[in-house]
Parts: sequence; structure tokens; C-alpha cells
Amino acid sequence: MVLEYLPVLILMVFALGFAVVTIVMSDMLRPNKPEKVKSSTYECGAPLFTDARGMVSIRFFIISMLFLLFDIEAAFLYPWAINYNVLGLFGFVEIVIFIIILLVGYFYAWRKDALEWE
Amino acid sequence: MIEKLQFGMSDFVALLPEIILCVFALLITVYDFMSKRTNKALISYMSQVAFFVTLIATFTLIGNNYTAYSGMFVIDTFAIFIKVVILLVAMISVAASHRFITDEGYESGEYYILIMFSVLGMMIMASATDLISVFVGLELMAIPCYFLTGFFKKQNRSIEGALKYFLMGAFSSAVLAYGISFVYGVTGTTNLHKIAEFFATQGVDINNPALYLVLTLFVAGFGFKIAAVPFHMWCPDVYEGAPTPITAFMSTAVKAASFAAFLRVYATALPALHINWAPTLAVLAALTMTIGNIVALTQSSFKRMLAYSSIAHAGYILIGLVALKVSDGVASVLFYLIAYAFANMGPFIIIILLRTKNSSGEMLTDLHGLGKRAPLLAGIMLIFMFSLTGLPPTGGFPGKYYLFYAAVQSNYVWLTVVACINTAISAFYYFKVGMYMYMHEPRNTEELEKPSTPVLTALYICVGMTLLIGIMPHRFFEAAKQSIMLLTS
Repeated sequence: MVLEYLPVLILMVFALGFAVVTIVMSDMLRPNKPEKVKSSTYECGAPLFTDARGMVSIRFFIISMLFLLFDIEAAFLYPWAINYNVLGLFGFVEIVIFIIILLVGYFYAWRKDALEWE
Repeated sequence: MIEKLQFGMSDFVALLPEIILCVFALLITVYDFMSKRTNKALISYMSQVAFFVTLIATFTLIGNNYTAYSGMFVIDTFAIFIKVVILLVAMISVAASHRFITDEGYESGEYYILIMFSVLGMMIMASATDLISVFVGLELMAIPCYFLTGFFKKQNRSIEGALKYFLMGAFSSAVLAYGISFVYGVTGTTNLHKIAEFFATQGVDINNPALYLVLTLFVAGFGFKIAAVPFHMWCPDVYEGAPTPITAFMSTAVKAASFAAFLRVYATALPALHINWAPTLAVLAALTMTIGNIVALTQSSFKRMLAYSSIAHAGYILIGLVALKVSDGVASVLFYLIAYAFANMGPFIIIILLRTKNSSGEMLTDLHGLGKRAPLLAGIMLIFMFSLTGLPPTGGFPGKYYLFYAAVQSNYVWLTVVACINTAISAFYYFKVGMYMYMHEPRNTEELEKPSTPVLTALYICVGMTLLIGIMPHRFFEAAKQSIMLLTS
């Protein structure tokens, strides 16, 4: 059974070998003449104007966290909606409780000005 | 094909304490954000009421033994025992909190709400009989704790602790989830009873590497939560950085809930594999108490010393897990948890009371001459130190006695010897506290603030319970014994 995976192993060896051989060979064969422009970071041919590790407003983080939460809420509604007939009243009550709990969280975020962008 | 979900009154009743706590927590959240200037002291009292009502609801369930929610959730005396301990600890921490966080300038309603949700998670953990519900409870317990650790958001060490705790906690949860996936792979179920049934009927295939993977991942996952060596590295920084009442809460309630889940998973689902995991846990227990105690010797911060001491105590409790098979093994864990909870809350409350304008009260030097500055506090502190060492007439003595006896009964004599040596090592740093309090002159002569009534009440409950458990251990041990009857059967 393990033998069935042999092609995968061979592929892995080839993939790794190809990458290593090409990098090492090109490093050994090519002439090495670094200059300032040549060794600068390449970004679509345009010169860089800032460091990529700049500061971003914390607001983005809060918005994305809230998006994640309510996105997952929506994702939970789909399986419930599909199985609505099987789950019946029990499922309906459960999902209403679920939404109420998340609504409290939503109003909390609202009152704490997490949705403001000043 | 979906099974038709059954939901009856019995399911509702089984979850009643949790439902009450959840509704209270949500209502208090709504109250907190309704106006910008709510009365935070009132929120603190409301959360006490919530815990008290939940406690009563938990007590009314005594005597019920059944599983609910298609085998996800169980109501039995073991769960009730753990829940009562957790709720008492939560009430004590909240009582010790209000003045402290107000003085530090972080008064807010979220603090109490987060504690309530964390307790909710612990209660679910105590009752969980399915690996999925264990996991959900674990996360609900842990995530509020990450926030609470970083609650003093302008103090660097608080943030540092929170980040470490979060990263380590998230990592260990992932490890545990990975272990659960392998259990499902081997047995085809996540229900603890069905896993046990699988091993009982199919037998244990000791050549199956997946089983060892499961045991390794489980030990790592739960080991992180209870801070067992070598998974303890987060613990001192987190316990030192967190607000002191939260440290008290985490070192007792979180530990009790994690041990409850640890115990239930191992005692209910994996007893057939006992011979495979017991030696690992024994080595882990010996390492945990030895390293915890030896590193505690060298600390200059009292809070950090208590963090290492709590690591050492996790090691003692692990002995009970190793001795699961003997009749009193599990009961001795429960007994030790309750004795340890009260004795460990106490010193943290005293740290809160020692806080003055110019000192945090957290260093060992702050204890110098406490016998002269505040004789009553010093005396109470001494009782807690006695209990943590394991001396009569305090709860620590019978706690250690039952644990060590269970280890001897299950033929782990070497482990008992290691544990006894460790008790002697720990006596050195616990008694050092006594020496500083009575043999040294005070360094800080500032007048201590008059403690508020809730904090004092919490302190007296802790010292009262520590003595009561020490004087009448039999009562508590019988309660612990009765509560585990159904766990292992």
C-alpha cells in the first residue's frame, strides 16, 4: 500500500532536486557584478517609495475582526436553512438564540464606536 | 442523513445553570453599553448575584445523573462538584477585584462580563462528554482569559503576558484539536463513552501509531492548559503580568476546569490505554513538581514565586491522574483541587491588600516585617503557606496525604518519594515568607489602606475553608468520592 505513494516521492525528489540544482548552478556560472539598482527590491519595475512594513490604522483590524465574526454567523445560517425541515421548531429557536447573542455583540461594537471611522 | 434532533425538558434542565449565567452575562453586557456612564460597582455586584443564582441552580441539580444533547453534555455529581468550586472561586475573585481595578484606573464593565463568560466555558468543560464540547468549552474559557490578562493595557508586562498566553494558548488548542481528529480517525466517534466502548469491544491495537500520536497530542494540549513541565513556559510571565485577581482566578479556576476535562477524557474514554499513558504522566508529574519548586526558590517577586508554586501543584495533582485506577485516585484529585483553590486564592488577595502608593505589594521585600505592620494579615498568610506546604491543620495536608497514598496503592512508590522530597523543597520557600514577615524589619512603613468589605469577606472565606478542610477532611473526601462514582463506571 505504501508503494502506491512511490510516484509522489519520486516527484518530490525531482522537484526539490530541480530547484536546488538550478539555484546552485546559476549561482556558480553567472558573473557576479552587483550594483545599487540591480540589488534593490523589485516591484513591478517602479521604484519603491516606502517600506512595505508601514503602520496601518488599527481600524482596519477592528473592521476585519467584525467582518470575520458576522461572516461566520452568515455561514452558520446556510446549513440550518438547508436542513430547516428536519430541524423544525427546535432548530428555529436555536438559531434565533444564536442571532440574539450575536446581536448583543453587534450593538456592543456599535456603542463602543468600533464602527466609526474618524 | 441527518439524525432527527431530540430536545426535551431534561436537556433544558441539564443546561439550566449555564443558561442562567449566559442570560445574566448578556443582560449585564446590554446594561453596560446602554449608557456611557454606568455604575461599575453595580455591575460587580450584579455579576456576584449571577454567580450566586447559578450556584443555587447547580445545587438543585444534585442527584441527577443523565446525559443530554445526544450525549454531548452530562449532568453528574462530578460536574456539579467542579462547577461549585469554579463558581466559588469566581465569586471570590470578583469580590477581590473592584477596588483593585478602580485604583489602577481600569474600572470597566467588560472585566466582569469576561469573567462570567470564562466561567461559562469552564462549566461546559466540566460537563462535556464529547471531545467537541470539551473543545468548545475550553476555547470559551481561554479566550476571555487572554483579554483579562492584558486588561491593564498601558502596562507592558500585562500586554506581554497576554500576547504570550494568546499565542501559546492558540497553539495548544490547535494541538488538542489535531489529537481529537486522530481519535475520530481511529474510533470513528468523538463521544467519550463511545470511544471507551470502541476500545472495550475492538481491543487496543498497540501497534497502531495513531494511538501514540493521540496520547502525545493530548498530553501536550492539556499539559499547556494546566502548565505542566515542559509546557509551562508561558505560565510565570502570564501570572506575573495579569491583574492580581485574574492571576488568582486563572491559577485556580482555569486549572480546576482543565483538570476536570483532562480527568474526564482520560477516565471515561481512555482507561483501556492506561498502561500506555500512565508512565508518561508519571514522568511529567515528577518533572513538573521538581522544576516548579526549584525555580520558585530563586524568585524575588512573590507573585512570580506563586506562579512557579502553582506549576509545582499541577505536578502533585497529576499524581492523581496517574493513580486513576485505584479507588481513591480521582477523588484525591478533586479533594486536592478544592484544598488548593482556597489556599492559593488567599496569598493573591493579600498581595492586593499590600498594594500601597509606592509599592505594588508583589515583591518578597514587601512582606518584610508584615508581622508588625499588619499582624492579622501576616497570621492569615502563614496559614495559607502552611496549607500550600502541606502541614496540618490546613487543607493541604490531607490533600497531599490522599494523593500520595493513591500513588503508593498504584505501585508508583518512586513518584511518591519524588513528591515527598519536593514537599520538603517547597517548605523552604514557603517558610521564607514566614521568616520575612516575622524576622525582618519592615522596609516599607507606609500605612496599609483599610481593606474593603468584599475583599475581607473573600479573604476570610479562603482562610476559613482552608482550615475547615484541614480539620474535617473526611467530609470533603466523602463528597469527592461520591462525586466520582459514575465517572469511571
